[in-house]
Amino acid sequence: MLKKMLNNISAVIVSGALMFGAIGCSSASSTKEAAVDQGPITLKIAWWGGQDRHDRTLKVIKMFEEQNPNIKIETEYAAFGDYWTKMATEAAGKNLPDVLQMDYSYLGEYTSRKLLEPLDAYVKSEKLNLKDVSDVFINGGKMNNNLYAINLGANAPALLVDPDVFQKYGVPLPKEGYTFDDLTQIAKDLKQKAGKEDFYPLDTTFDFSYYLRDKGSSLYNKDGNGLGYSNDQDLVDFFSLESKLVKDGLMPPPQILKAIKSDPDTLIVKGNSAVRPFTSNLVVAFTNYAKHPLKLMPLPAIAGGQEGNYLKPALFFSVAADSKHKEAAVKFVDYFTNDLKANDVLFGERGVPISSKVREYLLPKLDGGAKEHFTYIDYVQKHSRQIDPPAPKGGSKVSDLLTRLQDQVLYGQMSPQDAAKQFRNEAASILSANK
Amino acid sequence: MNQQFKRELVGISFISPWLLGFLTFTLGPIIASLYLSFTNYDMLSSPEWIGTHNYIHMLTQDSRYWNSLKVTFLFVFISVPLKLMFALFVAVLFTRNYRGVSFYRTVYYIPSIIGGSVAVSVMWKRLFGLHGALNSGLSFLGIKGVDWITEPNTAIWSLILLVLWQFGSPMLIFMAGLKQIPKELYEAASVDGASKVSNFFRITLPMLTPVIFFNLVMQMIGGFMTFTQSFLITAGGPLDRTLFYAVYLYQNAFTNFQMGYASAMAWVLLLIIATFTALVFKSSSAWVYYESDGGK
Repeated sequence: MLKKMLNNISAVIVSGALMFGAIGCSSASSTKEAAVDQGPITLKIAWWGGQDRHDRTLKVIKMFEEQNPNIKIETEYAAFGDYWTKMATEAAGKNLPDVLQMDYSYLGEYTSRKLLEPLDAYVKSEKLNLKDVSDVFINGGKMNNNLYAINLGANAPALLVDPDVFQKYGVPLPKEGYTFDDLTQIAKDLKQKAGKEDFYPLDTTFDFSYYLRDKGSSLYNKDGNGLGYSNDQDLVDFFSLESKLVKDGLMPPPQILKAIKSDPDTLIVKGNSAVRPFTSNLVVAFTNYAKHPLKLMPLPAIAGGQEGNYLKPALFFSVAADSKHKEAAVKFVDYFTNDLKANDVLFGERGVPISSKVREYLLPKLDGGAKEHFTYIDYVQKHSRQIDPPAPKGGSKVSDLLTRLQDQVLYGQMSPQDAAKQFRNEAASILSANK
Repeated sequence: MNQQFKRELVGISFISPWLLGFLTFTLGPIIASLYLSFTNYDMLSSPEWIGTHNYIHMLTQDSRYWNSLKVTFLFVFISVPLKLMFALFVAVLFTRNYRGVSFYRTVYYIPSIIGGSVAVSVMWKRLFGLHGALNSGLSFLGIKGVDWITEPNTAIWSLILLVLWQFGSPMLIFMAGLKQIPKELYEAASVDGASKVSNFFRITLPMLTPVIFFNLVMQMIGGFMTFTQSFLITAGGPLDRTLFYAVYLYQNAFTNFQMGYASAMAWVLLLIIATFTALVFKSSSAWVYYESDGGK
């Protein structure tokens, strides 16, 4: 009886296995056929962003599908943080989307693991048309001289300025080439004229890596296995500057900054601040929140220093190395980059379009924040220096460490000297893994 | 023998849907995480075996790890006893027969259902923010409050208050326990002229110890795994003062993509919880009173 039963069970198991095997075979052969006769194919496209971006992108995808009836597109979109969790999971399962939105800070990691397809051959055969794109916009997507990512919009560090506040308190705007010292003086004037305790002329903290660029130095060294600046005094000066600004009431203390969780709640939007360091493409959104025109300026310089500003690829599209439909994927990227109608819909939401033809086409239609952004990027193109290479592996941990130490200093729990020392110790140990 | 096997097979096939789910979605991942805890795994490339390095690094070099342990222990040792006392207090009130008591019972349970939600985290920020309700109240008394959530010294207290507010489930269990206590004991005590206070300490509390024991174990386990409140309201800050163990584990897994390290943290947490649960069980013979065991 038992034996019979075991026989039955094993028969079921074996037949089941055979069935699965058969299914496996049939599916394998069917994909092969599809690849040969170019029947309808399915592309998966992924991006992160806000609702506005989702709507625009979905519309463009629909237009692309109408033009290419043999390509069906599946979409995947999320907010920035969730997006990278999702991509990591999919990379682990070897099913990354055919076209995925890429960020400058992740580019190094994804290319070093060979997850992305080099696109140079497609550019050469003009399947991907970059004839109207200047090199400054292309180079950001290159790693080891191969092009892995197509810039979807240019960006630059910037100082957002609310001209109304300056006018209200009768303080002149910063002049071109102004320094951190000039800005501090301007902030003092504003604070004094405003005479309000909860008015903080500088909306938020500065970026240390930009400060280093001003000094002609950089946060990471060339090989990405150590820090790029040798004198801890640089960070001590930077932290001291910020903590003095907080003490003098010119920059909000961390207790206030930490409570602000979204852009519409920022002090500058509420009229309680005058300038805010940030990245330029956000001017579109901030102008909408503030409901009056805002201006963009370069971040402060350092007397006797170097040009710090740079053009930054806001975000990219990359093609996955495992993609089965690379030609179709490239076709989509090309459409996104060059098609005028598509860009009518996209409207520079991701950043200033890289194709000069598209820019010329859009420029007369722009207004408000988008126009300010186009003008600013035009200015930065002439007043900038090559961007630093993407952050090395472990870069996100280093910038997290920097933020935590900055908090310690601004909360008054640590001296700038100790923080600078600790930063070097811990950052060096994180980065030494890349040696 | 054959018959018995056949019967067992029937039983197994009936629970097989659950069994299959358990094996693939619970036991499988548990075993996988044990393996991963000995590897360096960033999800982008395959796991690389590094032996006990994760555990050694965690215990000897990671100061944020020790900080997260400190924060979690502080949180558990303060919030669990307070929550149990408060739940017991409310439960005792509710066992009296006021009018509309069942309505209030439901109302007081609601925070436990919605406590971990995003809406509550927004509400909490409004209550304890710089311009929040608490500070408006204080300003009437002429006190200028701080932002209780972003101020390093007060942040954890705002979270402790939040979990205290979610006293619903231990309260319900206490209420059930209170109803089990025989009325005769109180009647006998009142004949002897015992006061309400000594009734509570000499009858209610001893008779309730099995329920207290159960609640203590459950709340302690839950306390060690606290995640949502900190994640949504303070995100571990300010200055890591609310960086609970589970939040730091999450950050390692899904922000730094160090799945191996996060897995190792998860296993150490399991050991910690198991140790403390065992300690509470061991101690129970000294203070838990089971009537059915003849007072043992």
